[in-house]
Amino acid sequence: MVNAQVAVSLAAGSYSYYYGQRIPVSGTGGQFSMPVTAKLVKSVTTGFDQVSLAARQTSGGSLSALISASKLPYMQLKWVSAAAGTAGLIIPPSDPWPAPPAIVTSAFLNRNVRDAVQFLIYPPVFEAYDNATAQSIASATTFPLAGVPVSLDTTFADTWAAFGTASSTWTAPVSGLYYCYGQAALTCGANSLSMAAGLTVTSPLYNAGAAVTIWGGAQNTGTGQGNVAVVRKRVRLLGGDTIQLAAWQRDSSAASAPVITGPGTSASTSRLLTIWVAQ
Amino acid sequence: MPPRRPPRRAAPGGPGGALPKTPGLPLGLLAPPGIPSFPAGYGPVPGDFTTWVTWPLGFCAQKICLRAHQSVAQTLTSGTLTLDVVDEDPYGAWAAGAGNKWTAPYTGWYEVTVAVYSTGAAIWLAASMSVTGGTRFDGDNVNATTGNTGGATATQYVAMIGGLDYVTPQCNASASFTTEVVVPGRCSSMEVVFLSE
Repeated sequence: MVNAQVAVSLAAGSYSYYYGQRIPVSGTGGQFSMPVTAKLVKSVTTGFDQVSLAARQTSGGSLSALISASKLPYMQLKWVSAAAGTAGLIIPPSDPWPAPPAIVTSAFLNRNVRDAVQFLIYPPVFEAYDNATAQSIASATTFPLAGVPVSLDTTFADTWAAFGTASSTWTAPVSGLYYCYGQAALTCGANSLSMAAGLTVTSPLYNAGAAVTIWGGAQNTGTGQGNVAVVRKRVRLLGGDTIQLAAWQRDSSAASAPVITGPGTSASTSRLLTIWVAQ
Repeated sequence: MPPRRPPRRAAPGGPGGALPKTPGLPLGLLAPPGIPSFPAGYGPVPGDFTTWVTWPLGFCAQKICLRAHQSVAQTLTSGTLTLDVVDEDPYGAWAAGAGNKWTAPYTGWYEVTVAVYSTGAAIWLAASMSVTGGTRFDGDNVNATTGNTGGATATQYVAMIGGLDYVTPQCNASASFTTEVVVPGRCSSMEVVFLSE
C-alpha cells in the first residue's frame, strides 16, 4: 500500500505527517500508483513553519518515484486565509460610488472597502476529522444516490463557525464556489473489493434539492487493512446549503468496514475540507 | 491654475464605463486589476474610485472560472474527454466539440481540475490534462474495479498566457472503457479557477 502525506513542521519543531489517500501499490507492469491528499495548514511562525510532500509505502522493499514528462510527484500550496479576522461579512457588494451632490460616507467606505478587504482575507474555510467516533460502513453492491454519512467529531479549522459536530454537517455561510475535499478511511475486510469517498450535497442547485452524493469513484482496496479514498470538487452553493462526508465500500462477503479514527498523524483518518473560492 | 487630470483609463466594456451584466457576475467581466497611482493634486471623480477600488475588489471576489461536465457517455482508451455541458463559463472561453478546450482570457496562474469516471471495467484509469497541445500530464491513477464506477481526479496549477494558452481535459487508461454519466454524482468534469497573475 502507498500513502500520500503532508509533512508539517511548526515553529521549527519536528514534523507531523498527515495521511491522505491510501491505495494498493500497482504491481502491474506499465502502471503507476499515485495517491493524493489535501490538508489545511495553519502557519503560526513566519519564516519557521515548513510544509513538505511525503509518502509511505508498505511493500516491504524500496520503491522508486516515477519521474517522466507526464507523471511525477508534485505539491501545490496556496494561501487561503488569514489566521484571524472578521466572520459574518457579506460578499463584497461593489456598490456604485456616490456622485455629487451625494457624499462618500464612512458607512459606504466601511461596507465597500474595509469589509470587502476583510472578507477576501478571511473567507469561510473549514476542516474537520473523525478523531474518536466509532462507526462502520455496511457493504453495498452499487453506489447509493446519497451515501452513508461519516461522523466528524473534531474541528481543525472553522473560520465562520459553519460546522455542526452533532450532525457532522457543514453549512455554507455565504453563496459561492467552494473547493471541497473529502477523504474516507476504512479498515477493509479480508474479502474487500473496493471503496469510495463522497460529498453529500443538499442544495436547490442539485437533484431538485434532495441530497445527492458526488462520489470520487471506486478504487480497488487492499484486503484486511486500512484504505483511504478521496474526492475533490469545486461546488457552487447557495448560503444555507449543506455538505457531509460520505463513504461507500463493497465486500464480497458483505462484511462491514470500520471507519478508522484518530488525528491522522500516525495513521489515516476521515476528513472533510471546504474553502470559499469565488462569488 | 487647476492641476491637470491624467487621462481616464478606458473602462472595460466601453468608453462609458458601463459593464454588461453577466449572471453571477455583478460587475460584468473584469480584467485582472492594474496597480493604481494617485498623483498629487489630482481631483478624483467617482469613476476613478470605481476603477481603483470597486473593480479590483470585484475581480478578487468574482474570479475567472469554468465548470463543465459530461452528460453523454464516451468510449475511449486515452485522449480528450468531451464535456458537453457547460455549468459556468462567464468569460466565454470554452470551445466545445471533440477537441474541447478552455483558453485563458488573461495571463496568470490557474488551478485546473479534471475528473474522469468509468463504468464498471477493471482498468487502470488516470485523469489527465494537456496545456496548449503539449504533453498529456497524468494525475491520480486508480485501479478501478469491475461492476462499480471507477474515478480519478487530477489537479494542476498551470501558468497560461491570455488569449493563447488553453487546457484540454483528458484521460489515460489501460484499456478501452466507457465513461460513467450519472449527473451530478459520477460524471467526468473539468473546473478552472484563476489563482494569481
